[in-house]
Amino acid sequence: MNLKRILILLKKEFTHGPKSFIFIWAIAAPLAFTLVATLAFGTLFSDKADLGIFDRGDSQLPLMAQEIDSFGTSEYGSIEDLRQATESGAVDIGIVLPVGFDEAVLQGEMLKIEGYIWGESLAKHRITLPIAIADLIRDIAGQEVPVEIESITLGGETGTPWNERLLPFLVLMGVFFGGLMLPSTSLIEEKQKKTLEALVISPASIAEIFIAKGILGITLSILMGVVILLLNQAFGGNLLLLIGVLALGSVMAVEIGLICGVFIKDITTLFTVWKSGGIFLFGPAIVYMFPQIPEWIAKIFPTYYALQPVVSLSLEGGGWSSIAVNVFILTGIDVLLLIPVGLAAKRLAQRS
Amino acid sequence: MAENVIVAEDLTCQFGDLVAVDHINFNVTKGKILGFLGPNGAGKTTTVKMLTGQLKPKSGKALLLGMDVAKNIEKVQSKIGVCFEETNLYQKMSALENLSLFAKLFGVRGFDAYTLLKRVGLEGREKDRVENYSKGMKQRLMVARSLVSSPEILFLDEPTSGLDPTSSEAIRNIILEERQRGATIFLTTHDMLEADKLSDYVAFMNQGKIVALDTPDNLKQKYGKRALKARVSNASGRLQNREIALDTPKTAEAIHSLFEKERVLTIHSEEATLEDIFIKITGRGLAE
Amino acid sequence: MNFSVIKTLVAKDFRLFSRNRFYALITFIALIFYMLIYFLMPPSVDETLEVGLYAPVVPPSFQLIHAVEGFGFIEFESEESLRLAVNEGEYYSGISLPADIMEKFEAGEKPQVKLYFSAAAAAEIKDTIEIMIRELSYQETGQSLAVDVSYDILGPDLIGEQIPPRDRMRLMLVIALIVFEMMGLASLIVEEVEQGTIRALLVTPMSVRDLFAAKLIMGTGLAFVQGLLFMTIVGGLNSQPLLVVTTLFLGSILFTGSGFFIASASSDMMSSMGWGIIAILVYTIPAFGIMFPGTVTGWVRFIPSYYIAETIHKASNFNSGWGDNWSNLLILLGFIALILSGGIMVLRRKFR
Repeated sequence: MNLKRILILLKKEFTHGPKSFIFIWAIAAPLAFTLVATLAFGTLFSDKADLGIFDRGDSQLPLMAQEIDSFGTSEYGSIEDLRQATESGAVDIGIVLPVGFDEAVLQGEMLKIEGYIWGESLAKHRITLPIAIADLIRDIAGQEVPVEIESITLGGETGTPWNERLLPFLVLMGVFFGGLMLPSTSLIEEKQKKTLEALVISPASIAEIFIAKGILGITLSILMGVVILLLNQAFGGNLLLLIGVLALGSVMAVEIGLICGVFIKDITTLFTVWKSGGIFLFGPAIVYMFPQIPEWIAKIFPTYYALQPVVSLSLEGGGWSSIAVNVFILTGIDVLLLIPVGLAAKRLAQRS
Repeated sequence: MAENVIVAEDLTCQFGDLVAVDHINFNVTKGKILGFLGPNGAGKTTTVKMLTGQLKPKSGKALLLGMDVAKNIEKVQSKIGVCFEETNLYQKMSALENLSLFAKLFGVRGFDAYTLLKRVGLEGREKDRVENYSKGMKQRLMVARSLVSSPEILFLDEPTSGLDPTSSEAIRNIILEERQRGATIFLTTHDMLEADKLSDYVAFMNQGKIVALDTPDNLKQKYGKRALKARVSNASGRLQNREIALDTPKTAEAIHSLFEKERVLTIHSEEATLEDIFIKITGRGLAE
Repeated sequence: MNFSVIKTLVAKDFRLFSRNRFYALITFIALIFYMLIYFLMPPSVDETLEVGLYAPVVPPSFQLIHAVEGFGFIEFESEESLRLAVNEGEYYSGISLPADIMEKFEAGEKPQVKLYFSAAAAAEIKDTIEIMIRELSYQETGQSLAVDVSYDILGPDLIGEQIPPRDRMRLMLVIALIVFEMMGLASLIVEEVEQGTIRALLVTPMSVRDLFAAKLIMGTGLAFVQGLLFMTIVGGLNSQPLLVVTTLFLGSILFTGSGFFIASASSDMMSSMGWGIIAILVYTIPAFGIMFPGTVTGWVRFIPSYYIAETIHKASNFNSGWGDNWSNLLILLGFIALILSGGIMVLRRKFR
């Protein structure tokens, strides 16, 4: 094994890689999915109403509303903007606060204010928002709450918000898009264009070629995993351990990618395998998305052992003790995968 | 007078600053084979592209069957068959499907693909996908495709390039059969043996220009050097070569002297090859 | 134009398409998958916030709100049965009012109200119920607000007739279905250029016009048939069927023209997929904006597929007819003319 040759091959991979659409996909697709899925699922399954406010004066109501999490609040600069937002459904209800609103409320003056309701807003939002607005006005008026409320949460685990349920899926996608796709497409392309034959008869060995392709895949993989966790503000407290786990997961992705690259003959077949076989990669992520599915099902999939440590460290505040077993299993899988990778390398050398 | 089926008048093609084909002129009469010889990059394929309407000439005219290619492209293309240098078959279709497709495009009625495939030696493999064919089989299919419409003019661009001797011979036989049928054939190659065997006329192309155009025999006569080559054994038994130029005043004397003074083991005459002639004319080989 | 030649080319393209594992599989799977998604999604919208209530005495203000659409109290015989129901997840929340609530209000004291929430209840539901209890208590104790909000309803009022999420999703699904064919067509063309078969076609009596006509028929036909099949099965043609079908057809032509652009910009299969994905993402933005109102703003009108999405949405979900949508169709036709002619022009150059 010659390190200098590996570096030469790696440089070729890096300089060629960024122009490859797969490289762009491996970066753009997970990011796009992160943004889209967070927004989509966050919105689709959320029961939040949205309030729009145009304040002609200087009321504290918009600020107070923004501090409340049970509904969303947006402020607009003009009545036209508020109307448009309401008409388009960006907000369920829009209200216009007149000048001197707070003072009028404090003095108990009778006020008439304009409001807009989006025609497609749900009935329950048309109730809850006005009630919430009334509550805020009462706060401004300094009225004392005439009731004591005790809130009791019943049942076992708290429900997990959707953005947390989606995170494992996004992390897996980020790690595997780059880690799997880059080496596999690179190998297939080299086989098709016969440049691999030229490499094989050079002093570079198949192992060195594989390592160079693998390093690129791992680098991208870890980077994407980190970026996705960053976007979701889900680093947890153990960054080094997290990166270590991502690295081990990336190694798995790259090993599978190299195996695919050897045995699959063209890009369209690779995409077909990727599309139809994706369940084996993303199975554990689906279990995380739907907690009613028993966790033992997730453990059947090898990617679980890459995913669980990441979830534990980033979302559950876990440490080494909570992930040690799965990390060892993951390492074991990475080592075991070296066998088919070796066989693939041998097959490739023979064919070339 | 024989009809000129292929006419190139001052044909020129330029790519940026590079003049790929430089004001060439030639014509091919009906039922003849013109071998277009030249090294890689000489402009052969570019010439074919202009003649078949794939490329517009910068200047000059290409006429096929009396029609200006640029102005009557569809009519012209209905009368020609083209076998490309690079394989461009539908890989996911069978040989039968490939041929049937082109037969339909040419409007051939009652097309018998099986007979044609048998002719090119692909009997029994008609329904196999092209992606499973060997290189030789693909090339035969390429030739078969160019014959689908029984064209009046055949353009064959390196038809035997990279093939084994059996496949090459099969294709050469087809070429001769087509000539017998009355087709006019424009054959580009840098295989001088093939050109010598098949062509009625040979044109040498170099750096975009036609540097020679004549029958192979005339070219050999004009530029070639005939010689006698002998293998002799000297007194110590060592083998040596001797060469005597024919057609010189001293030839007879030299032959007499050879037999008198040396122990001649073998002797034969040899004429110049087209490659030798090409090198003589251009200063470079056909394979460069 | 030679119709026999065009027919031959269309048959050839269809054969090649069906033999391309990736696209054939994706087309079939996508159609089934999208239909499945549609039927799995809820067929109706729950506009009502249902809350369990245990109240030996129901204050008048609570009774009033019970009558308002969007809100419903489900009464329980005992606090224990309420607790059980919430604990088992039958209801997200439950309110337990004390028996002496009215006495306490009259005496100016603060009655203690217990709120039960299930573990799965979202934070916004908890806040909403608490705010509601406070507001009802204010009203019960005669602390009225000197603020009167008069609301205008913007857009069609769909209360009681809300568009189910799956019918909003339907638009996104059908556009995703037909827009994907753009990538399929582009890759078919790129494959022909890569393999050189386009050169073989160009030296036959077939004209370039025939070639483009065949590609246009193939691309449009494939997309349109899928879209039509999908919309028929999921009930998308129940309102304004002719308008929806026409829009689908025009949309298919638009995406076919875009496929020509993608093919001309691509050097190989991989880059055609890369550009194709980017185009798909852009074209689905308007449908996304309709699915999640308020997420996109005015600039979306520059995306040609906006006029497809808007028309189909209005026609199938609001029974909006030709009179309301003629301008959309006109603009769409303009985009089609531009994109189709541009696509043909650039692709023609690539063939030469």
